[in-house]
Amino acid sequence: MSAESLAARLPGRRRREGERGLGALLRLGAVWVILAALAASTIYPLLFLAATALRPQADYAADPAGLPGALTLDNISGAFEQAHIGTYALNSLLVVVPAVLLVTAIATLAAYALVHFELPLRRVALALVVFLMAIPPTILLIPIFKVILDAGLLNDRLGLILVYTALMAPFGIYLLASFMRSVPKELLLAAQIDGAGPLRTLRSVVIPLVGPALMALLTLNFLFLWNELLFSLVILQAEEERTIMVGIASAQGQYSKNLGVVAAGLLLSMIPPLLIFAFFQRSLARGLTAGAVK
Amino acid sequence: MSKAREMTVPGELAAAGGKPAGRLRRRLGGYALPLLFLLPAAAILGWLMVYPLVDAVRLSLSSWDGFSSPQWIGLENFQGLLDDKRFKDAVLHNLIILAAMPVWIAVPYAIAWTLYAKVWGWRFFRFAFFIPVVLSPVVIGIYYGIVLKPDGPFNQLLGVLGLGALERPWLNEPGLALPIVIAIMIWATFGIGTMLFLSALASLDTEQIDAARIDGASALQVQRHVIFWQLLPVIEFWAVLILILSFTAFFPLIYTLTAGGPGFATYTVDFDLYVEAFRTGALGYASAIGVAMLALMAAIGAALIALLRWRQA
Repeated sequence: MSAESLAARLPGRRRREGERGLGALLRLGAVWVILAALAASTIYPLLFLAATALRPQADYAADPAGLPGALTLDNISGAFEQAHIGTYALNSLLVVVPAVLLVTAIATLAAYALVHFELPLRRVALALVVFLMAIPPTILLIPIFKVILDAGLLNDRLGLILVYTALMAPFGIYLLASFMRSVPKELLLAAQIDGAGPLRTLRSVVIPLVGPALMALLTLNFLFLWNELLFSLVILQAEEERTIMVGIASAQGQYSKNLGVVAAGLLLSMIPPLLIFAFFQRSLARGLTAGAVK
Repeated sequence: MSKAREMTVPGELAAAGGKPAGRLRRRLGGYALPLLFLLPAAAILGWLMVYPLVDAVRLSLSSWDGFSSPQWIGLENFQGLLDDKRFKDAVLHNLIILAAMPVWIAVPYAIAWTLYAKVWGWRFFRFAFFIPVVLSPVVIGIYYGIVLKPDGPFNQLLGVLGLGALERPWLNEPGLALPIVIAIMIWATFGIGTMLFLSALASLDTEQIDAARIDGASALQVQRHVIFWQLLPVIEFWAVLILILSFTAFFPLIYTLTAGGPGFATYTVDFDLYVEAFRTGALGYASAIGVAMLALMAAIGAALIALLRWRQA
């Protein structure tokens, strides 16, 4: 397979000219065509949804895969006025932003306590965090629904904020703890000798040093919670509080005859994730790989 | 107590002075603040994760409609699961999904190699392959629902390419719907795997590889006997992630793409759990599905790890 020829390109090995025959070139060409096709499949959704959102329904029906024959902004305004996409987006922000900030705050404090203080049972606590990280949220759906119901927080944004915070906290603590471990003890000791208390040390020494991890956590959690469906569907059932993913999932059935509006809704819902991806690509990658590569 | 003593960072420092009793008191005083830091996380995790985890087991042994209080019925729900064809089909579908794991691992592994070898345009590819990862499965499900409609762009494209004979209502064919859903899920997540492997490749131990080459190992031998072992921890991590994804990430995709259909052909366990709980109103029964799912995942996970480490021992 390709790996064979590519392994030959590893550093430290000088390729002999003989190896670069026609066969190798053809293989490289084939690999490149596959990559290009795959890249086309990942970029096409953006182009297709943009095109479909900007053309009248009749024009789409005549040639779904083709370029628009006529342009219109009706679908975009339809998504706002009939499908209430703006309201749903605002609802999402009202849940996701507080949840992301709350997770980051409690995870920072918890990781700091677990890593930099000789607490009894702290190994047990860290093991518990890893255990909770491995629990699939779906299993907790019904008991969490019951807890929220009993607390009178069903159809209350605060309920979903707290649920999101709990679900994302184990990963947050784990990620920050693994970064905080690499903060040199000498720096903490120096701060201590200079008379800084634990909170001051956290603010002035630890947080600046784990800044990249905090960034990774913020972006990753925002992305994940903005895109989340299951818990939002179950905990915010009232129509006026629907988050964006629940909103567009229900608009899908309602506007099945008018795909332009659906496409416009999808396109608008993708803007925040794509912006985050464009500007915080490194943070995202750091957060996602932190668990795998030590 | 001095401020400096409050923090017990280096244990020796705090333990340095004072009589045993005084040291103990100082220790407890020193713990107060970190325990306070820990409190918010412990409270919310206890309330919304640990307690629900225990409660999931209790609810799975109860009958509950969401309105009245749960009634204890023992193992009745689990007996029901054994006779529930839809649930058993859903489990079968999840096992079929898991059977796709070799592809799910091989695709990002191979792609990471091509990017690592810096094929022409690799930076662009790396960017493009990550796009599906940042999109919501809701968006992906609706998008593919539109694209694969009988009169949608995909069939149109086949017609243009002269492959009109292949045109069909893709998602309405019982035998095809599940493979298509699996393919879409692999498409949606291969960017994560590619990135994991890519970052692992960047930290390969090249000295070991050079040593193997000098000893006369062929490229394939180096790949199999040296590089594979160096990458094994990451392969293992990705495999476990796939296991978790396969049982819990399909819900939003199924919800928006096929609604479990045609018939029940694309019911997965997590989708079945949602339907039983919030469409049928059998929340106790749905809890039993969740507990059964956790047991199944734990068993498969243990087998998977054992399998991956088997040759290592």
